[in-house]
Amino acid sequence: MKMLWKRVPSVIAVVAAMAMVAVACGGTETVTVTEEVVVTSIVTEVVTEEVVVTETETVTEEVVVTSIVTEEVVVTEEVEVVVTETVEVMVDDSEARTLRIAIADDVEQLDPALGSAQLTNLVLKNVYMQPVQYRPGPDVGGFSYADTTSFEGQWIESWDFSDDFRTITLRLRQGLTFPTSGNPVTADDAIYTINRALATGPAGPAWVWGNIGVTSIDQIERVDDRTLVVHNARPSTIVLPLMRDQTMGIMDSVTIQANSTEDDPWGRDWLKQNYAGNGRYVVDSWDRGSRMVLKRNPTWTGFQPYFETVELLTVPEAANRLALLQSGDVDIALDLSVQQLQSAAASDGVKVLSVPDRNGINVLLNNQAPPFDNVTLRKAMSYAVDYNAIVNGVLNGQAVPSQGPISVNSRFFDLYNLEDAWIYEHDPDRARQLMAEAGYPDGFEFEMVIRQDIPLDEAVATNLKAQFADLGIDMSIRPVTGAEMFDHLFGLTYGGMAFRGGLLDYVDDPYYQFFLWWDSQDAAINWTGFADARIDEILDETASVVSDPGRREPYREAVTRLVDAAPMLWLANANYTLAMRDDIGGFTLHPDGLLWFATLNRSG
Amino acid sequence: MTTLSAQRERGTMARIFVGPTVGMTIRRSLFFFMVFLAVVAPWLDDFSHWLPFPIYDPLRPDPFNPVSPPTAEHWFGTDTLGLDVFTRVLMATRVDFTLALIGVALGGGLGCLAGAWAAYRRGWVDMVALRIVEVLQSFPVLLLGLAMFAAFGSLEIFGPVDHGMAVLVLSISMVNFPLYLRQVRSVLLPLTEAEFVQAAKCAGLGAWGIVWHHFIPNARGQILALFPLTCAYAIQIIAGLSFIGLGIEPPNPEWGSMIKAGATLIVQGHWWVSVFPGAAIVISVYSLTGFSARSETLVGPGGTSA
Repeated sequence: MKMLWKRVPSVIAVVAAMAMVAVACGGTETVTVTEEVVVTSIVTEVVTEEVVVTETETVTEEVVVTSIVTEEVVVTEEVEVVVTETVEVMVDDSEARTLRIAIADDVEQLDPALGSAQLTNLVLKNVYMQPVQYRPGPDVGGFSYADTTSFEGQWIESWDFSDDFRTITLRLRQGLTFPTSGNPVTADDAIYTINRALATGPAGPAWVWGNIGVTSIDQIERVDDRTLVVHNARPSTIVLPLMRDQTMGIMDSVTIQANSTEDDPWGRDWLKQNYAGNGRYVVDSWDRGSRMVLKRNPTWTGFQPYFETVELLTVPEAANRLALLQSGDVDIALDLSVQQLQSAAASDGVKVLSVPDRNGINVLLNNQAPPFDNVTLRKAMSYAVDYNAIVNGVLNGQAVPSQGPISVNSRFFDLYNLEDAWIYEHDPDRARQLMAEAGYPDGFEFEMVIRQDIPLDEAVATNLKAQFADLGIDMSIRPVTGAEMFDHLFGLTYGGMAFRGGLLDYVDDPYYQFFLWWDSQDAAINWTGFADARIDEILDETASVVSDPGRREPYREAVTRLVDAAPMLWLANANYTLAMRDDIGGFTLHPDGLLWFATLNRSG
Repeated sequence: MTTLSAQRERGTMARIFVGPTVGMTIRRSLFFFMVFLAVVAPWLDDFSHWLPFPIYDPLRPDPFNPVSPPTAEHWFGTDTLGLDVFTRVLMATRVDFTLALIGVALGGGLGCLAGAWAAYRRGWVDMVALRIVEVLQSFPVLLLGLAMFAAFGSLEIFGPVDHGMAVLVLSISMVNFPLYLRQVRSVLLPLTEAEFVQAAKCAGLGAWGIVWHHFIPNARGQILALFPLTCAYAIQIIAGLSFIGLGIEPPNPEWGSMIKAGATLIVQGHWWVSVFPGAAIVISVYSLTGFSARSETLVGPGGTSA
């Protein structure tokens, strides 16, 4: 018996070899042996094998080989194997086709109309179908950037702008189905989706449609079953980039209406927890607080995503997310700190993608309250910052120094030659001189508000505190909850400075950033309270200019003015970082920074 | 008994330093060593040339040297921000000891007075005092702390005093007030009818006079026995509240918040960020128990005389 046990590995090897041949020959095969023998053990072995799917594509498959070993087993060079009653060779790749992602919190809710929470945005982007999406750009070393100049139609197949850009003709894609209900996607669904967005505003898709110029459903004309015309749209460069917004997905009007009530005519309560879309993935199940399972959309006939199942696992502790990634229990871990990414990168089987991005590490200054209502003092602070310590220390080199409001990694930075506009560098003497000019020769006190328990916020604040202390400035740090932070930012009630992680404009376009941040009248997130009449004028003049030569000089002027007024401290542009198992490939970075599951695969 | 009598022969100062057993003496020495370090900590930087250990600014991060293991340059390593753990453990001693002392003194002092008053007046005063105590003690300590921060968190009522620290001190007081009240009341209750109290009354001493001159001194042994133990407990409460993010404003050094900062690093093998402040709490609590010997010496028949 002992001898026999020693032979088991050899037997496995032989069986595995047979299995591989069987697989190569194509699929499951059964070998029947007539002789009756005594079974001594059952051996299960998992063999990893490369299977050629097409001429160009090879995927790694796991083959489960089950063999029943008998007393008659003899292994020689010529291999005489009396094996088993049956040898089953099964190809089971459901594990390989499952992508597991550890996320920091539960998905907040699922209604696009409420939008704006980070994990909701991530899921909405993948489970709803937007009018258009960016095309993936070319591979640049294991990943790609979305091509922000090129769009492909999703629920609209094609589009035409009139000469004055005020009329947009949308042709709807035919043959789409909502997988969970089986209802076909029709022009009625499109109109219902836009109508619902406008009615449930002003957040989410209502805000997006508003910036496209659609504020009333009367502006949408239904020409026929497959054509809609948008009248009186607002001409701008960002109409299509706005249409790829994660909240713009088309919705199943029949299902939503069936789940609406008189008190809740747009089914808002139902849609918070339920799903009525047709994205590349569909929501299969959702255990609140623990996990959400997404399945590949069976009705989508275009390019098929590699992963059949995507599981989003809620793991609140970052250290646990890292541990799950290191053990291979999840494929991707989101929201890791700089140190945890370092640990991840040093682990076997884990890789950390670090991709130059437009993510702004910016400190907000309250421009409407002392002391930072003083422009000279704001400039002094811009000279007081040790940019190198932030970029190479706090961010561990996974960033570049910022050079103003438009990220150095934006395509518009080079297009508009914006490096000329930047004037600041770490210069304590200049900072002291400007402080004296501003009337604070001996320093001053102020408070910085940060979010509690966020390592990056704490690190940036602590480092700035020490840097400012060298100039006699006493900065205290007050951590607050995320909700309190929003109150402070929108109400401009923070004392001096506020820092809130990385700030990313979802659309890479200077117009988008300026109307979002710097329009003193209508800015959606004017978190600094900054106002400049000339910048407002430039925005009005350029809002409808849809070609870049016409925008170049006005935006150069606006950026120069903004940098000179220093309404915030632009510290760095941090890389997009993602820790994943090293077999995950196909990553595409979209400008909104939301992970797009459809291109991911297991060939990295 | 030889130890005890020998101890009584020494002066009061010596009795504070030398405990009835060797273990107690060691614990007390540890305590005074920590107090000494806490007192001189802010000036250590000026004498760094003569010190065997390197000392840093506890608030100045070194972003280029985060999570460094213990080395000759950083005895206890550095945390995620690159702050020197050794300096911060040292500086945090000041914060934790001071807050614990003030909190216990405040809550304990009021508790003693209220306890003695309740024992003397009995009746409805006693009943009301006990109900207040029961309400306060029915809250778990951390919940009480949370409630205090929720109640006072946004009120700027402490003027120039650091807001978080003030609420911490209040929380400690709230926890200690009922402890001292109950203890003092239970000791003094039998004395209400004692002859010397009656005599004081006959002599025309007022109620507060009797409480102050005859009641409180009789509870002295209990109070002194309770004090070091409640201080140790207070240090744990401060660390606990800071651990859940209440009280000390970051990046100011405090043991509880330091443990928290390193808690998630332990699984990655970076143990030093949490372990050293944790050890500091253990040592300080252990050292404070060295004074509970007072209960043995003072609660005995020899100690209770007024």
